[in-house]
Amino acid sequence: MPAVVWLVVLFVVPLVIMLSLSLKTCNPASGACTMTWNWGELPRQVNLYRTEFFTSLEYGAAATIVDLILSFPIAYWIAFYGGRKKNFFLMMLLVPFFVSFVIRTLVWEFILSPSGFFLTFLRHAHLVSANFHVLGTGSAVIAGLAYNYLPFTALPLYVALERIDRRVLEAAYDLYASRREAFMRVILPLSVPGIFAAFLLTFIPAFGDYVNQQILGGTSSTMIGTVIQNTFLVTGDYAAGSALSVVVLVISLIGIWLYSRVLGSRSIEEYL
Amino acid sequence: MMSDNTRNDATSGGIDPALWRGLTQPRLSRRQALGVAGGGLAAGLLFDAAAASGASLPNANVGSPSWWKKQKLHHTVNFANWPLYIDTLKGKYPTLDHFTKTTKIKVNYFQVIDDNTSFYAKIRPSLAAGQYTGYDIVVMTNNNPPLGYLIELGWLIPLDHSMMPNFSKYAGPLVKSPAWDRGNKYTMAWQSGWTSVAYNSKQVKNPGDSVQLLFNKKYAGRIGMLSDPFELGSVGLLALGIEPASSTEKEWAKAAKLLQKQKSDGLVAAYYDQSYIQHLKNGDVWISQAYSGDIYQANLSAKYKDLVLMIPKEGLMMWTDNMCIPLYAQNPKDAMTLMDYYYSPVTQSVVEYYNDYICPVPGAKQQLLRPTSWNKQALASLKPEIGLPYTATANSPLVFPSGREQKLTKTYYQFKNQAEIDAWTSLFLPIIQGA
Amino acid sequence: MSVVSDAATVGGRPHEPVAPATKRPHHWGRIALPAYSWLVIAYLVFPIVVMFVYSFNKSVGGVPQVSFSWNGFTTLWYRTWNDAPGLTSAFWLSIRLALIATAISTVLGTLLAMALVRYRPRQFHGKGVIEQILFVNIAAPEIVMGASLLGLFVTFNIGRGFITLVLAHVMFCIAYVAVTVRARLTGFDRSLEEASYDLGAGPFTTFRRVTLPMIMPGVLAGALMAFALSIDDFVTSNFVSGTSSPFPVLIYASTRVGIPPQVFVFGSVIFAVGIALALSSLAIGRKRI
Repeated sequence: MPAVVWLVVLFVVPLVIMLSLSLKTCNPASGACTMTWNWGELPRQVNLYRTEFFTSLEYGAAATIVDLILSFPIAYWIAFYGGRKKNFFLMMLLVPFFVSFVIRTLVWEFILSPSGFFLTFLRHAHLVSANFHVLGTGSAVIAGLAYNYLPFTALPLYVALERIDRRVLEAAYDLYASRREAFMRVILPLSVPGIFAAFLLTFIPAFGDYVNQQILGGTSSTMIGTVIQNTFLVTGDYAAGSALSVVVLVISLIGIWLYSRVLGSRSIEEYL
Repeated sequence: MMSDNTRNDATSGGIDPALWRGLTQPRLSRRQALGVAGGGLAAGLLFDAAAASGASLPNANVGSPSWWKKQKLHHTVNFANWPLYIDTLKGKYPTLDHFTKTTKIKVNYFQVIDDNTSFYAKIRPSLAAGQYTGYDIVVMTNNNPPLGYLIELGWLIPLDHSMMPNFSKYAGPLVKSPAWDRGNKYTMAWQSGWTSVAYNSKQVKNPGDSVQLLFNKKYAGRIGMLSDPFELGSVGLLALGIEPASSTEKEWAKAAKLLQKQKSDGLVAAYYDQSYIQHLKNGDVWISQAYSGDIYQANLSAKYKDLVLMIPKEGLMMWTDNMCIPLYAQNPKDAMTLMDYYYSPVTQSVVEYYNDYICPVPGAKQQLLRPTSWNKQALASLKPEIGLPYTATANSPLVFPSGREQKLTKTYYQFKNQAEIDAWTSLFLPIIQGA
Repeated sequence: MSVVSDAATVGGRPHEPVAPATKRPHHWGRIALPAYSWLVIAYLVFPIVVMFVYSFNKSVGGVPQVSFSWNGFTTLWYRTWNDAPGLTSAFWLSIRLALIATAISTVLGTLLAMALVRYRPRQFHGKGVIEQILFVNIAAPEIVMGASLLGLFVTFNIGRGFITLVLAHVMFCIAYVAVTVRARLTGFDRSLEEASYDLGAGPFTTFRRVTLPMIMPGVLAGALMAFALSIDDFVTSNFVSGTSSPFPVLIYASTRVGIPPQVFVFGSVIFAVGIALALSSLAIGRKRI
């Protein structure tokens, strides 16, 4: 099957090569890498950039939680009360995707810039202080991540809520459950797989993201994605970059493994 | 892929390139392993690498007179340069247009170089794979390792000195046979310049005349530093009152400590490549390390008149950007023609009127004061945009340096081997990249 | 992913029959919830409005770069949409790339989906492994994929350019296509194919006249998703593009030296065209139902 060959050659093999690169030593001049079984590189890099790993975990998690809180009510509303306009509302959730990822992140830079018209307006209206600045801080990065990945959270939640069998809900009401009880004991438990999928599909890309950090963040908010990008594309140190990527991959694989242990690897496709 | 392999085969005497790699790389790795284990032992690495790749050099004949004789003009040339580095009028480049008009060589001008290392990382895989990088001319700075790497690895085409009449006649002493390329075997300077400190005079009162301004807590979060570790480290040394050119590894560590503190105290907004100028213009950065010509160009617009370049008492770092022809270039002859064209004082007068970097052609001064050729019209068309008399450029010490600036000029530390480069980057790079 | 999930819903995913909500929405369900939802929608739309507004912003001092502050209204950038160096060609490169990647990944992904549905694990060795690969491929962070591809190309001295872009894009599209198509194939009635064979049709005729029409909605949804993924990809492309920059890579690179205002023109126009297509497909979908 050509598809399998394609995936093996261009997905599995590169990951193996990345593993082996992380044990090599690369010549900074020619870029040629030779195997030196340099086991020390991985712990050395992790130690050097542990702050960035933690920053990424923190921002990824914060953005995911913001997204879950933001999108659960709207997903619930569309699933239960969307009626005939469901598709229209779903499309509204997807509106950001009609603008290129890099452009919409850039636009956030314009919105959050102290000299942009939005903050200028807020300053004139005395809604923020004259010294208020958010561009270049961690909050700006989290805001950008939350905006960019919101549909990744909202859609799986919607699918999960939509699939809840209304007869179960009816049965709860027949048994004199209050709305609150019905929500807490029927809807919420039944949407747990969706919350799981939403978490996985939002957290992993947000964790590995660097575009938001590069455009919206400052020096105190460097994420590991930025470091990986720089080691590969700026300093051209493939061994160090590979070592860092291996760690990111392992962290992601733990999440993926947990998910498939609990819900099965195929269940993800229902939420795409 | 196929064709490249065959090219490699043919040129390295029919031996499989993989075999060459097999033969040459173990030597590197042994040295590297020693270097890792024994610190200073890695000294010979750079030269070793050169020897290794010299052996597998795809075509030892490249750049020889007989090779140059076989080259033909293709009437196109791909030129990679730094942004905002050439005379520009309404999105067009007058000197390039004139070149195309007179030589019928079309120039594709790419402003893609923001930083030496990242540009090198971009073209290196192509060179290693024996492929055309996409550019016939690239411009690399002498204060950064990549230019040295390109020379040592044999990845530059030696210039054809018979095609450099303007250069031999008009090139100034600063760029003729410089320390980094004796005899101009591989390079011709594009421009030189200073790295200093710039600030916004509207926001920064009493800036003083010291690089200490970059370490002033009053401006926490408003200070931009350069992401080039060689620029960053050098200004750290200047701030400590240390001469960068004669500094020692111990002093580098001191400078790194100072810069690390500057960062952890929250003074630095970010480490910028060429993009620092955007942030100065946008007003989110008030003080930044800066290149001399950028500030001059920004001043041309009334809106950015407040940006000021400081002449610090600690000194100005001077660098030179060099045009060179990367190996496997498809249009080397067109490239030579273009490079030499920029050594005509007539051409340089137009470039300098816009650019305001240190001019490699002293004779351009006379051409600015009394244009004698097509530059008369070109300069006149630029004038409304620039709004300065030609004499302002001709008498500018930033273009044709005078005594005071020359006295304050400092040079970068000249690395003796790869181990020193590694020591430097391992001190300053982590500050830029995180941690 | 997006556009496609949408299309998938429009096409009608097999759902439980939806019983009407038995109770009328509670008071907060009638007021607070819709109000909140509209607020979230406003938040999602807001940056697009900002982009649109900035596409009419004058530049400072005649330098064709976007500026943060508002300098007055102009339609100049719409009139000179083609003037930003490299932008238009990068856009067409992205379109070409997306079309080629979509075509290849749709064919390969569909075939893979069919194989995964038809054969039981005992007939099809490694089915479980392939499913794991698909899952990891979809969930893995893009930066790891991009970085590892760069490692591959560098290790084997493969020059980067349009070909490597196609290789990479097909790679990350296949899994999405396969999974989307498979979701539609699960309820596929194989007896129809058998009937076709019984009536004397060969395997090719059967595929063309029976199988393909039945799985077509799934294949289209997969293709749409592949196209959307490819055209918007930045991270992987940035690692494997070499000197030929697709649209997102070019824009990202231009953030360092000043963004040409035409970027927002392209953004606004692409958005308008995309929304128009999506709305019309919604309208058509509704009519059919």
